[in-house]
Amino acid sequence: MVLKGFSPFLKDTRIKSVVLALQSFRMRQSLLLILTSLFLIHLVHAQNTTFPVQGIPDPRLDWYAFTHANIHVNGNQTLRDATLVIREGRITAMGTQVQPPLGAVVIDLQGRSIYPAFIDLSTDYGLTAAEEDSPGRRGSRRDSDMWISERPGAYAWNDALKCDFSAGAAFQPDSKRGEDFRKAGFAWVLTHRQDGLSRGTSALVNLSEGEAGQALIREKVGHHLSFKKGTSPMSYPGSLMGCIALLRQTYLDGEWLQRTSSAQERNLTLQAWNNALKLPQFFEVRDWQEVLRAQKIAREFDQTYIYRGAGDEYRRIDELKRIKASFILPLTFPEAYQIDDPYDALQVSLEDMMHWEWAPANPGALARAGIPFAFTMEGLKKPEDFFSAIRKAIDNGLDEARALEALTQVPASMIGMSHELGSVEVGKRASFLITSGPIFEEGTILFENWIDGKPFVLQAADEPDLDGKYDLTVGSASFRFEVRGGEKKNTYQLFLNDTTRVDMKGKWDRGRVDLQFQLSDSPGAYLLSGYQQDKVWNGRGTDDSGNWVAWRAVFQDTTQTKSKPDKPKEPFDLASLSPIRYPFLPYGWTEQPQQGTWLIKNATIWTNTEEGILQGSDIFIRDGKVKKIGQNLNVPKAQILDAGGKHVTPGMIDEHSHIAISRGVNECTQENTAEVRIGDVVNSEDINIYRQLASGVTTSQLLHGSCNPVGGQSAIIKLRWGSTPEQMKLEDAPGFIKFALGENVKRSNGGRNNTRYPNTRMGVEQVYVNAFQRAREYAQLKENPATANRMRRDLELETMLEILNQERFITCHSYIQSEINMLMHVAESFGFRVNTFTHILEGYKVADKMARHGAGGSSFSDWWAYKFEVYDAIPYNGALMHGEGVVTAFNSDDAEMARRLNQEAAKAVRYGGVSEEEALKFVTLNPAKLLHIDDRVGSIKPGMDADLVVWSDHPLSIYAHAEVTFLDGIKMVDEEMGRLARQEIQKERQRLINKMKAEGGKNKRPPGRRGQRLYHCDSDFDEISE
Amino acid sequence: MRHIMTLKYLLFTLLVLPATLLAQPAPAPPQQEPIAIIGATLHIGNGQVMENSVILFEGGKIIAVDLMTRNSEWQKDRYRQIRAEGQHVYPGLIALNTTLGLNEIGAIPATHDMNEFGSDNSNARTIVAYDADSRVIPTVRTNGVLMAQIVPGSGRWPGLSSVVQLDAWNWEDAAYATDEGVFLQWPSPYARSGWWAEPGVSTRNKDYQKQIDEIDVFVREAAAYGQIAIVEEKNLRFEGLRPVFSGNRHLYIEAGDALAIQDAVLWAAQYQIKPIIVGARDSWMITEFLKEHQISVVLSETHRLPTHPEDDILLPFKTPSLLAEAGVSYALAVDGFWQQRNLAYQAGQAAGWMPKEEALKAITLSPARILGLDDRIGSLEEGKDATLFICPGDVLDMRSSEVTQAFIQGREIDLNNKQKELYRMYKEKYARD
Repeated sequence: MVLKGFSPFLKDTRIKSVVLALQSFRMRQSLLLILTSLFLIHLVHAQNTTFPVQGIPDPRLDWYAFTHANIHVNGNQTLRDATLVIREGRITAMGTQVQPPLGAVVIDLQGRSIYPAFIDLSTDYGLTAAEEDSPGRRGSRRDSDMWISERPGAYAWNDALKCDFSAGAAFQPDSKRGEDFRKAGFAWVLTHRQDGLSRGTSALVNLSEGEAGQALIREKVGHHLSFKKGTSPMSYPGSLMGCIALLRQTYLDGEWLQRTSSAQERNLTLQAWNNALKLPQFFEVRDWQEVLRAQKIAREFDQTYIYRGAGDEYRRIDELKRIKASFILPLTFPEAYQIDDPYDALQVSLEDMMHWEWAPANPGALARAGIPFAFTMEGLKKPEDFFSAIRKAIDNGLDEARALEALTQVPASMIGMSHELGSVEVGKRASFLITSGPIFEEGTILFENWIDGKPFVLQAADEPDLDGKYDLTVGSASFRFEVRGGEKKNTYQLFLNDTTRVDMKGKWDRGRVDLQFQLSDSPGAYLLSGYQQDKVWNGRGTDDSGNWVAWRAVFQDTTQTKSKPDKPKEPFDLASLSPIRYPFLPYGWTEQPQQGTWLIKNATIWTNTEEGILQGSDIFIRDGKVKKIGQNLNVPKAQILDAGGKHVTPGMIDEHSHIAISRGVNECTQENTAEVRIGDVVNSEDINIYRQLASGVTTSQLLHGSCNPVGGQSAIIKLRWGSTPEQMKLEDAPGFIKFALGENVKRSNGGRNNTRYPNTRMGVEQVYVNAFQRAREYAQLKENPATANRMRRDLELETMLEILNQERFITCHSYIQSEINMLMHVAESFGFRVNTFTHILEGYKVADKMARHGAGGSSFSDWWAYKFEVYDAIPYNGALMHGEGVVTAFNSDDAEMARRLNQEAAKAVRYGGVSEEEALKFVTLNPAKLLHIDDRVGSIKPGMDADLVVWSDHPLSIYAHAEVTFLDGIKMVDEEMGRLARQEIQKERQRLINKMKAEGGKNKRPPGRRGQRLYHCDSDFDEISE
Repeated sequence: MRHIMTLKYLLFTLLVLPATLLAQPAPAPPQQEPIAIIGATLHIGNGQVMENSVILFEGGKIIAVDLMTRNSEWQKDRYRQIRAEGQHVYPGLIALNTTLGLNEIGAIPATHDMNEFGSDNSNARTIVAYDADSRVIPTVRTNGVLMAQIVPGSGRWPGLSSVVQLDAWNWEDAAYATDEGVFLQWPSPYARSGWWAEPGVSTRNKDYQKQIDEIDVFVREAAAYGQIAIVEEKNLRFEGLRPVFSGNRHLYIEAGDALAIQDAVLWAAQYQIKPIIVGARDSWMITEFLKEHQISVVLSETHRLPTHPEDDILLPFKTPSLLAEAGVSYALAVDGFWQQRNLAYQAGQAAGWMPKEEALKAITLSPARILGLDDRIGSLEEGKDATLFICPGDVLDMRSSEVTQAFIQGREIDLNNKQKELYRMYKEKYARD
């Protein structure tokens, strides 16, 4: 009989283990040695601690030898039947030939396995959460603004920078959470306070109990960053792009502080920042796009980030591999949806269902791509969920060895601690797991978790394998009973005859056995107590009449247990998963589209050139460009698109758009936020890209909102559905910035008390005069060699300077004539021109001045009456501006209206009688001119980008819809593709719903769907607190 | 040269200035003389078209609609003749579900009169708050919208709607069907956690049934109350519902989800009420149900985004055609106030997938039917109000939708508006320079 799961150590009573050890003769010798050397050890210990000892010390040798173990050194190397010796928390010897040294407690593992203990790099273990220092003022719920930190001390102006926080200094072991970690096999964690953009430094601690000083291994290990503002009560930053700008400025400020001794400022935050930059850098992200966003910062400031990933990395494996990112991955795999109702099913998005299927395959996908990663159990509700999550990842294509590495070697090397942690090797810290078998296999028991030489028993000694039939004599009575059971719990049954059995109560505890049973016709119960020795049980007890009697049970026969044939696990089949879509949404490409050679035949072509509108003509497209226009073109091997009776126009250009932006369109929190860039937050995963592309829009200027006089820098994108955010940006596009005037910057209409400057149109002017004056002075400092290398680089002023230098153009949100006039005057007084007034609903009142100044106008066709400053707006605005020679465009500012930009252009015909050819230019060539990209887009002639729309009807007619959209010579959308995509979406949804239904288990989510933000100019909300 | 300048200036003062001062056009006097519009293509409003037509109206009513060749009545001297060969005549468009006249400037609460305190306002009347002088109204009728249903805004029971004609001195003058409906906002079966900028997940609304029960308790008591003619202590809220039970007031229920629509209809059936469903986003999914229960819907704008990323991106454009094909009684509407001037385009958009005349019907005869006013308005038929307009082109398509003349109850209304005045004024300014 083999004792399964026998463990000599109990959590708090070492003496018991020693008593048990006495059963072995060899152990007896060891104990003798321990006892004789007690005095010596005590001396050593007393010298190695500053803590005084109360009363009589109880020093230990902390010296153990584990014999007959299968030692998994790491993911790839295993020693069979080997011995492991540890002393004072270190591994001192290991090998198949190693003899247990005298003095060590010897523990015979009888074939059990030893694994290196796990490391979690993403926790806040032992730290208290940051408190909101001004509850109610935080983030989106703030009821008043805070411009400058109110934190006492010489710290940074912004509370989201908590670089000086040291987790090591605040750490205190947490026995409850420690136990949870230990149960899941962890010995060490890297802990940091998860609060702020810079969250300060993390500490490496072990998960043993006791004094912080014993658990703390290294005080400052990593520097932790995120795009979350956390508990900072301050207004800035209020958007993701603001977070990025603040981080970039902090890198510059830190560098400035280091470079110059002339800094007039002591700044403990920046000092801490500079010190923290010497450590490994960890960056927490919400999704794979944020990895790329952070990576841009890393490149700019020569940093290497280790990303605390979101679990959606599988969506852009190639891109993440290309940037050589490494990750700490979560094991939080979403639950299936409980779908019982067809209407409820509509509440579940294809994206969420695909993610449900893919999330457990994420680690495997990264492993196959060779992307290094560690695991964190952060986010799992219970420690028990950890192993099932790992198994799920393994079932979904993750190699077991890689799983082990992700918990041991990889995290150890990420924090530069490979010499101490991460494998079972001589010289390393003695933290390891004792298991009943392969660690990730279902049913394997994790018996003990040794942490830096200290044992923690996770699974107390189990009942041994007592299975079998026994003959029982109690006094003069004879019985027969049977023990059945699995590894954990045995059941006992008494045979009355061949068919009738009675349940017995049985209990085994380290050799001591108790049996109880009662017969139906007897006055009382039999209560028996005794000892099990091998196959014989002996003892005394009381019979059913209460008489003391001797009893004896003898093993007779093994039980035939029906072993369930193991259901053979289906091997993981990558092809069975939903195909990866680019973007990971309905209508996403399953294969990236390619440029084609196309010949569009017999179309009415709106060229927007001197050629005018050509009838019955052909367009030849190759390499993403329009190659030729003419009649009866003949191009061998070109794909033909017969556009007989149809119209072809250039792809439409939306000069004012807020789609495809992540987490905040406004950095509302200062009057001038020239440092923020929409280009940092382009969101390639927005369904509106597809919707607009399918409606004939091919290029958009993504603008910052209109919350402040100087907003952020714009991004000009092509609607390259399926590309990454960076790939969507129009190559070498000129720089733009959003300005805004009037009610929005005065924050007149939000219903809140505005405390931010300005409050009047008077103040708006002064914001500009001041900003450009500062920029001018800044330029002088830059140009002067005496000051140039001592000065601080300021991202806001750099941007303002670009405007002064006419390297960046202004698109200015504006409504009424006075303010339009004002800004032109300010610009002229600083020697530059306002490029575009957007909205510009009173442009018609100053169109002549605009034309003289050289400003263009990008307007709504017919919006008005939505606020006071548009009460004089008229739909004839476009026609009047156009008539005065202002380059005039119509824009959307709206995800829905952008789908009908051609109809908006038609309103210039309806209101003011602009010719149809000119009206179409309002949404094609004219916005291209305003954006200074008319050499590439906005007209159809050889050499231009092949961004074309084939219309079912006259393009200005409401009855027309875009049938085909080409972008860069790629056929991006047509009606047939749309129809097939919808069929495929329905099929895929059905497959996923069925798969969810087939999955057992109680833990299912109710159907639900995340909402989507649609931004307008005045969408002013804090979006980055959490 | 000097001459010309002076003349130009004189013209400017004469033509532009007075008009500018009178930015709000005066309501027209009652129809003085019989009018004949001759030669136009008539878009009857019921799906029919008549070319080379003649339409005669007198005393505010249409007296004849016929082919030019068949009816020579128009040749008589007593008719003021309007030659409209090659042009189009349409029935006045009817804007349903609008806050026109209750909302002057979107961002300025002081100009808002649609949202009363509390949630049960079944007694609040939009008609008395309707500002017949709103500067927005002339900009709307310029595009052919001549009648409107003025509806209350928010709350479970936002209030009572009235139908107005859009050329009036005051609300009494404007009132066409007073307090014709009571509005009920049906609870949403799905509730979204989070908030606008941080939308959470939308799941089943746990309070949905409770909210329906609250409505039911209110209506059950109102129904019982309605059985007695004279009560000691009047409950004004219940009085608002009293005519609903006698079939003299419409019950409009705002609901969008398929589940909500069905629940609302089945709930109302207990009280023998056939509600009109407003919004009705998912109505295309339950056409059999709507037909079986003979429910009419007021579909909100075709110009909106699809509900879900999976949806056909053109679904909102196609929805009217799906209802039409299935034979559901529906009309088209657009939310808001100034937005009503684009009502014709909502129908034009739908016409991509259905016959144009059918789309036109959805903003003329169908709304009239839903309002129960199709004996008086909604189509160009004998005996109905002469509420109609002339358009040289296709009114559903912005390429050609300029309205040149319009009549409400035979009165030729002034199509001028604030925006046209500003246009003229600045055109003149630039002409002067």
